[in-house]
Amino acid sequence: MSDSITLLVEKAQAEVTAAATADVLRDTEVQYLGKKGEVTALLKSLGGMAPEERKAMGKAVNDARVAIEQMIAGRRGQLEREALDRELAETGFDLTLPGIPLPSQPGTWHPVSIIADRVERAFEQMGFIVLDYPEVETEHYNFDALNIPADHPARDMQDTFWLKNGCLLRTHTSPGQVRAMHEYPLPLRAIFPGRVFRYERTDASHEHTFHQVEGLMIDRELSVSNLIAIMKVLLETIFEREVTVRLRPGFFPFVEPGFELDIRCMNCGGAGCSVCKHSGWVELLPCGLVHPNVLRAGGVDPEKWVGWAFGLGLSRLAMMRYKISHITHFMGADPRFLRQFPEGGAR
Amino acid sequence: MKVSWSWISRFAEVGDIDAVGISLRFTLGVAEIDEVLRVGVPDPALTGEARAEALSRVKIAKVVACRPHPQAEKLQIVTIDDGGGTPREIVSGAPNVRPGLLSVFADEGAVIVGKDGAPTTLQEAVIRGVPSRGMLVSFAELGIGDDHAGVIEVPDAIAPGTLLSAAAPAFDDVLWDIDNKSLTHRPDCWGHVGLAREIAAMCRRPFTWRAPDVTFTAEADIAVRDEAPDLCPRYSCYSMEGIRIGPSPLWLQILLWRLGQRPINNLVDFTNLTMLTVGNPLHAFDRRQLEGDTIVIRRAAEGEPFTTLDGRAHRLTAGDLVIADARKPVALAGVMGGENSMVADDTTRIVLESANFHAGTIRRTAVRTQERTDSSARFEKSLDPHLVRDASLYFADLVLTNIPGSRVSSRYEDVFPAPPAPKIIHINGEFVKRRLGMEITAAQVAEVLERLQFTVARDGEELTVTVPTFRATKDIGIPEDLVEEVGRWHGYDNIEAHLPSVAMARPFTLPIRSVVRRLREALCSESGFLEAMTYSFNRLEDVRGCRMDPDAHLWMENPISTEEPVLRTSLFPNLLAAVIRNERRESRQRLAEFGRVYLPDPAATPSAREPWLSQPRMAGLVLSDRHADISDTTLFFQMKDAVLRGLRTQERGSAAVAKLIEPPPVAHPARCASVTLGGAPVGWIAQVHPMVRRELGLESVVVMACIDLDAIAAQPKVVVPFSPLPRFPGMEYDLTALVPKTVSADDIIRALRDLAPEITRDVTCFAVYESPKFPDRRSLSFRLHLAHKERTLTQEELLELHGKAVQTVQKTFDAQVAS
Repeated sequence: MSDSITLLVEKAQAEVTAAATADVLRDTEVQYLGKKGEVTALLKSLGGMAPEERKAMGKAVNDARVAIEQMIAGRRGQLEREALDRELAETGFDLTLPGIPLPSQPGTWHPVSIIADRVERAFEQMGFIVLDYPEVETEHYNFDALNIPADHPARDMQDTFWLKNGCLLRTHTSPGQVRAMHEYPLPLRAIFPGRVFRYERTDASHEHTFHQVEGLMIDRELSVSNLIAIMKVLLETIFEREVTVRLRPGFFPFVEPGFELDIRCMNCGGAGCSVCKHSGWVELLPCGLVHPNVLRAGGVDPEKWVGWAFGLGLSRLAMMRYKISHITHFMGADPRFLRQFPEGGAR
Repeated sequence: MKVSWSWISRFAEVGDIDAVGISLRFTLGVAEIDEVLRVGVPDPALTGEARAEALSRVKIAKVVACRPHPQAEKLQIVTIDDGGGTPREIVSGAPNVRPGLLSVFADEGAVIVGKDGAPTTLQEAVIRGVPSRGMLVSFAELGIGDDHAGVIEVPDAIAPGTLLSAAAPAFDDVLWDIDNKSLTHRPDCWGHVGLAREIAAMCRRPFTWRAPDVTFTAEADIAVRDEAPDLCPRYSCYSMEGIRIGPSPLWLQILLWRLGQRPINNLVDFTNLTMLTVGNPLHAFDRRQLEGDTIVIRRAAEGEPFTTLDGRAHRLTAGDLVIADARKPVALAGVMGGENSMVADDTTRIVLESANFHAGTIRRTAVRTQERTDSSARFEKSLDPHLVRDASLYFADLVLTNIPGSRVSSRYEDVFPAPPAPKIIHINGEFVKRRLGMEITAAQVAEVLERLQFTVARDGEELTVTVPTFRATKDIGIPEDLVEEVGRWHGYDNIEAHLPSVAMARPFTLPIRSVVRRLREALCSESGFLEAMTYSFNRLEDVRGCRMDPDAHLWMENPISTEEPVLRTSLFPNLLAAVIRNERRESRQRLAEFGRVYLPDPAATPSAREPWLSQPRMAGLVLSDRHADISDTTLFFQMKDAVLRGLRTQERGSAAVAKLIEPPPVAHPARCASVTLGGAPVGWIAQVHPMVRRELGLESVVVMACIDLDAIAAQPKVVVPFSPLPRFPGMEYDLTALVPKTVSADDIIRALRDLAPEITRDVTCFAVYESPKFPDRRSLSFRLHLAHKERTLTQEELLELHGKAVQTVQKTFDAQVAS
């Protein structure tokens, strides 16, 4: 008997799928679930069975009834949607009518776009090219090629969003370093801004989604002194005033030597606030000379070339420039926030 | 990691240095310190003499006698000896106060942590009619740890009256909390001895630590068989007898609390102290529980069961390393010991393990079993195998000094088959100078390295540098690493900044960048859109609400919340959600987002290099109006105007709309249009589907536009040539007609253009009017721009054209022409 139930469900499936109109579907429903329907008949036949058998079969028949009900409901929704779509498609609508100018109203750029544009302009004026790299990355570019092999404790520094397909959301813009080395001839001066992701809890200055810009320069002769000079020039260009920075050693496997550049907190002027975690300094960017292993991963001979790189937090920079106290405003799409930044792109 | 300055100064002559002041230099030269805390007096406002005065009021005292409080059942009147010569009486309510107890007494004037957590200065009090000055205190009341179970019980013999700060230096101390991440590459800094060495070098002070001498016996108790020397480069152990488990001495309990550890018992505390001091984790086994006479280090069997001493049962894999006796695993190497062999209260004989394990293996096991211990955190950093013996000696010395009657009862088993060869790096002074960009001589480089305990042989500019073993495991291996040592030593702040001088380069702009920038200019600077950003993740209800299939999305393995487990394939689920969030306050919204969407590619094969999906950059625009009528199409044509304006800035041919063949499910199936640029489709405009609106609970009427930015960038640039100015005057001719709604304006425009192609330069529809009087018709006004290349137009030509136009519009399109 269980075979006949299976067959019944299969037959119902075929008929439900084939029902082209709501009326046909209703007939199908009656045919199976109505008072004289096939499922109902099966239920009635249970009465004559031994208790053990009745229990098992009762469950099977009931499951079949539920399955058929669900497929009918699903098909009904689908037919209704199709009918509505047809009905809507028949309304007379002439898309060729002339456009209507929107009433004039000030628009704004997102504060992160404003900052990114300023950074891009500043670097372009210094002869850098601006590149754009994928947000979904492979372990290879996000970690391995950057001298962070599997089982390296440095992987803890960047809690990662993994996709079910095995890819990951880039945890930094640094994967672009090796990509750029593969794609462009040397010497190379490039920056690559973009969205990055960290699997972490949100607070005033941490977000799982934020924006960075990576900078990379490879030439025959470069030094830490050059890197410091470029960073200072850049920050002063963005903030249009003198900024106080400090440098200290920082460990990042893809640079050697590596350091952290901190900037005096602009939200509080160094007095301490939630943005700087009450330290007066905001960790702004890790930077350093590109590790020879990373150059090798990019097909660059570290005997002949030297590089430096930095990763600058655009979101954090925007927070400082506009004294934004909470980083989650950036992704909130709230017009009351967005309207506050009328300056647009860099001039 | 918490660091005690008093403990540091045991190992380097830095006791007179201000630990708060030097912490900044440490941050700037070694690693980041998150927090510096001065502890001892819980009130940070007290400094100098007032602080010293408060500290002098906390001392060791002995309970001489107790008698019940006449007025309160739970209180006692306690006679104590505080070393002052005369016994004193105080009132105490602590349950563990009893005659003979040695405890800590806070006299009048001492500052303790009050019940509300705020600092309180003790004053004479009258407790239920009995005057009381000072009190016996718990650890928590002194601001040490969180134990308020009762007053402190001092286990070791300390004379009453001894100041607590003298008996336990960590009571009055400065603590640093170093950011662990910034020590990832410094295995040598995971113990106080290593930190003391670094600080001594930084302050140019002597580093005084030496491992203590311990005499082992000649007896063999337990042998070692290392079956996995690749994962366990060194394993040592020895046996001790005469152990008596009990509380640790007071100074150690306080030190451990300060370092963030809870004191357990003397033996556990000694292993922890050794780890925190020398940097190498240890493990003590109860000798009774070890079967046979050999310790075996081996890979676990696949699926081998093992219960760690925290009571958690694990199934091991062949990648895990275990320590086993003759019958069973007794420890998960480098991570945690087993429940089956842990030290108990009646343990008297132990086997002490001090070993070195392969960093990656320990990390893998710790991550997989979720046993991230202090031990695994150290081993995963690649510890120096030479620490193994130092730690063994340090622990034995601690036991021998602090547990009377204890003794070492075996020889020192030490399996260390292949000590690593000394690491040697050749570097020259010029290289350091060029990389740092500062003036520095080879001699100066050598001096810095020597102070950091590198061995340097210098031959002119050439240096041959031998790396000390404690820096050689991972940290230092290439010349660039030495550049960093010199750089951080000199202070990066002391490097003068010079911009690089480089060759000029050919200008280059990525096409996508100018596409986005121009569109952002057009929409957000010119057309009044607010640029928004939304997350790359979608909530399932928003995806379904937009009539999309969640299974056609990429799913996250570890989503930030279970409600938003998929990556967006469209900007609209989040943009429409934003419109809904805002619509109560904002009756009209213009939002634009520029961002990537992530499209699964079922046909793609996984690759080691390239992510297997497409992630095109899109612009998503929404116009909303909460007060508009659902049938109103104004928003649609406003969007059309804004989009076409934006696309016209792209220099990629003319922008137009066309019929959208397959509207996306979120779109109204009729009120939608395909957008083309240079003839190629680059996006669509559509009103939100009424069902989506209902499903999402959207109150406003919303029109969306989706522009594929990569599709625009892929198109070649087209420069439209200048058209010569007309030499003869032209004229405009307007025609208004009441047209059936089934006729499209474009059809009429095309027909009008064909009437007299040689003189018709352009035809536009410039006004639309609908009236309820004519539900099936609308009034359209057209303007013909007329001119002839070689002559002025004549009145006859115009009349002829007028006649044809009226006739065409009436006959072909069933329209009524207004006269």
